[in-house]
Amino acid sequence: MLQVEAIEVRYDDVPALRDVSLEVKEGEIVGVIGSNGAGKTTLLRAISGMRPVAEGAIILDGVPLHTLKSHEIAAHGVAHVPEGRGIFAYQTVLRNLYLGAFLRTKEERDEMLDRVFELFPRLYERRNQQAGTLSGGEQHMLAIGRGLMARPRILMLDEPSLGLMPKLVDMIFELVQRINREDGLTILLVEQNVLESLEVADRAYVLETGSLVLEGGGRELLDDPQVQKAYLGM
Amino acid sequence: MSPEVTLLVQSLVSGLLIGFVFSLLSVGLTLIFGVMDIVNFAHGEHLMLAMYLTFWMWYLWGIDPLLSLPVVAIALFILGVFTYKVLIKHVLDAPMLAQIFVTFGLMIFLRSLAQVLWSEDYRRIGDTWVSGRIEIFGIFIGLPQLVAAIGAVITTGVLYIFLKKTRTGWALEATAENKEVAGLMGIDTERMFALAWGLGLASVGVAGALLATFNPISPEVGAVFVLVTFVAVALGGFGSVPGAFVAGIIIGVVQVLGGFLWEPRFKTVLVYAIYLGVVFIRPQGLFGQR
Ligand SMILES: Nc1ncnc2c1ncn2[C@@H]1O[C@H](COP(=O)(O)OP(=O)(O)O)[C@@H](O)[C@H]1O
Ligand SMILES: [Mg+2]
Repeated sequence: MLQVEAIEVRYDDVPALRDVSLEVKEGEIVGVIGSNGAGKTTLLRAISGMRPVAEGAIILDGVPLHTLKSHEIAAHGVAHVPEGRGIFAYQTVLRNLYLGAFLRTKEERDEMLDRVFELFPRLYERRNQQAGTLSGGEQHMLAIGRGLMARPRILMLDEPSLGLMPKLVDMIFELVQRINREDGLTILLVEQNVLESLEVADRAYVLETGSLVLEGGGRELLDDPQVQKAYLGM
Repeated sequence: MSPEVTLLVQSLVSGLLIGFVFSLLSVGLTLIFGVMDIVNFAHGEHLMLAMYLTFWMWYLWGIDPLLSLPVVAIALFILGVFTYKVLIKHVLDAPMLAQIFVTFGLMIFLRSLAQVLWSEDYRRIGDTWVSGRIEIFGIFIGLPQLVAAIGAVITTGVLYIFLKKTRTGWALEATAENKEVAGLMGIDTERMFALAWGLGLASVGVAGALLATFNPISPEVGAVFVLVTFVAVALGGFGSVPGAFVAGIIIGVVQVLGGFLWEPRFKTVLVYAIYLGVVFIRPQGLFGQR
């Protein structure tokens, strides 16, 4: 469904991604793991049009995305839950969710809202609260919920477990699996939490200083000696 | 009522009335700033253009300012979108100094243009539908001022409801808070920028048509209002529409009270004193979030 073909992305002429190619198939959870500064965020920003693509192509179901602007890419069904959440702190929880469904009809929006509140009862309780006053974990839930509100074809999550307590981290990964299974949502998950990501991912890529160095099934990579040594401290 | 009290109430009322017009002007400026972090230094000159447009429609074709008001508002809306597309769009990612030069240059250009085209002469619109005054409990209220205040309040209210209750208004507010994330939601942020300029200048258009009914018009008229407007925007909190509204009223009242208690030529001093107080005590302004 999504093909990233040999892209290069630069900051001030310095490449942050070089010759990166990957594929996400319909219904999959695909992980991209790598340590801090590897280029994970840059990859998602390139796909969603926040960063220009210098070389290569990004194709979604035959449509080239790399020439489009962010809002057009969103209209093609790509939802990007940015790193650090990027919620609208001065708007209410409900308004944040409505903004997630900006391109949807009212009926679609209300239907999806029920689903999001079912997944995150906390958000329902706090729906009229200013988003900036939520706890860190709740803000993560809101960011993911807002991504779901778009009813995307592919949901991209940038380190959804970053900075959360272990209990909440488990909850987030369970949720990722749940929306993939129950809603059939295709997910591209970018993470530093290698163990848990590889447990939920159907397939995964390992990104190191701007280049992909390994790819394979989630389980397969968990057993890979190289991955174990570099990321799992074994 | 004793003459002093009457005079005081009289001053308060006129300060309040002009304050509403300040509010509308400030809302226009703060809207543009809030959405895209650019200060429109030509705000006063856009007001000047609106007032001349009103004047010429009255002078040449005898159209009453109240009738030309919607035309002026639409013309200024279009001018705002045009200004965004032709000038502002190209300096969005430029350093702040470049952005300042663009709108500052526009200010000088428009003022010079007005001097060349229409001379330095003061112009005045004579009889209008709203000429005259009314008396309530010994207080005289100029009808043009009263109508201007009412018009300004209605326009500000409509703008506020638009921002809070419509999908496009939400998109504008989302763009104001975080344009990158707004783009991820599917909002065309460049269109929102153009819209902010359109609405910002349309507010000025309405204010200009209303002010033209009683305020003399000259190429420099913008300078008189724009300083007060900038103070109101800072006092209300950069980017805050309710803040600009409240601050406009406060400044209108403070100005006349300053003139009443002190000396008319010092009235602006008090306004700046308040501004300095804000800068030191609450730099983010009354309603500012950032
Ligand atoms: N805005 C930026 N300007 C310049 N360099 C950047 C910027 N953002 C990221 N980089 C650089 O690009 C590389 C990849 O960063 P990033 O994609 O954020 O990595 P990750 O998300 O994997 O931690 C890093 O070397 C980082 O320093
Ligand atoms: Mg990152």
